[in-house]
Amino acid sequence: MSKANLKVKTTPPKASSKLTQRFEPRIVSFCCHYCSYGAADLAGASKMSYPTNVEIIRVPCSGRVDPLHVLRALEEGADGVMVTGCLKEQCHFVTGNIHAEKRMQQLMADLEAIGLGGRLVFELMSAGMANKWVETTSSFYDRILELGPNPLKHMKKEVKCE
Amino acid sequence: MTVRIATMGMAGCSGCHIALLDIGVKLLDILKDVELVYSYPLVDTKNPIPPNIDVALIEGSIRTEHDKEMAEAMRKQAKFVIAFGACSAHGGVNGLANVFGGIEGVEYVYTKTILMAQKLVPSEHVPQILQNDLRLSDVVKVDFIIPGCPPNPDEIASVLTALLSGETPVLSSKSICDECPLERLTEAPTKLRRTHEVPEPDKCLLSQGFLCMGPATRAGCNAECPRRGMPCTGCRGPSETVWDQGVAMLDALAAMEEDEISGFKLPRLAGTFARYTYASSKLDNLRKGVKKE
Repeated sequence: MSKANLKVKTTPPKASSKLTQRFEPRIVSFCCHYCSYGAADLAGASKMSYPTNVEIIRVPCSGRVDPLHVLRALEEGADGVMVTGCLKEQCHFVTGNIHAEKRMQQLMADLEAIGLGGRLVFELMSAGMANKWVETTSSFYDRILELGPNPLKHMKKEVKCE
Repeated sequence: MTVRIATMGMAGCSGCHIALLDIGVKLLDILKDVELVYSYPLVDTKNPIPPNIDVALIEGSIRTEHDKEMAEAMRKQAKFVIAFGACSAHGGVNGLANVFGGIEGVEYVYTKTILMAQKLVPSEHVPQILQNDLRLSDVVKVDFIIPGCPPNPDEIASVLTALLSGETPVLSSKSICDECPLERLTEAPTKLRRTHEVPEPDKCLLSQGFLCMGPATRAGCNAECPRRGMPCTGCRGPSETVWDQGVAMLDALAAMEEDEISGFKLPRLAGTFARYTYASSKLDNLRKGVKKE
């Protein structure tokens, strides 16, 4: 009797139809410790609202973000990746954000070529620019909603690192 | 006791087999203990693959169904499989076909180019072309790689002699710069220079503005190209501490490049940074995933 009950319980729930499922993007944001993380912090402290889908990873400097980090995030199923750093000439490590910009611009072109265009954004902001943080995240969220889910989501299990 | 060795060629140029002959006099010492049981320059390879092969050297990347089948058949008979050369180890120059979507590139060549009179992709009496160019380890388990395009004869000899004496062969884990005799990089490049321009001798090529892939490339070739004034193209694949050769080089150059460098635009990852490793790069892995959809 109890076994029969258990069986009923373990049957998987019926997959809801696509119409009822709403696509909620997952956005990974690499924020530099000195500026854009501060901006996100300020946005929170001053009770501004921005999409909750943004998952922040704090890095010492935007120059720390390897293009491989971005590729890996996309491979693992992130729908969009943001890399944010300090304003030009305000980098705590002098040139980190300039290096990051060059890398990310190159990577954007390469992602475009393989059919993942628009899923990476690079922005510069100071710790006081909470407005810009809200603006960037909101517009990027809208863009990802338009682009739809990451086509690589099914790859998640066959990740190879070499 | 003789060691049974087989060599096999897939999508490649046989350059690795020539490099095997390039070992020179040392080859005679090696051949004393070796029986070459299967090798397409020497033996009729229509025969089935003989059993009990000790070491199999497989050259070239996997491009057709036939290649795939042969690699699997060889793996069944061989105890130790070596991916021989850049194509086999990392996808090689053939891997650049993947930039154009693998199979679409083939269609382009046969139907759009002027040289092809018939404008037809051959389909009869030829093996089916695979969707993507694959390296050997995508198809079968590979025990060891000998990188390089072509591989360094001295390295082939040292790997083979190590295997014959029952030792485990080791590849260098350093980068080309560690072996390069030129003066180490002291200043960032200020001007982009092309390969045909003449470099100053005894000075790091990268700091002179030549795109030398040395920092991201595995050592072991004794830096033959840079020491002769030819920038490294990265044929030996990523060094031990590098995950993705192209991305690593992009990373390094972005940090090095000044804003004022005239004409220094970072080229696309493929072709320049990942000339020999595109088929095994992260970017191509993502491209394959997008295509599947």
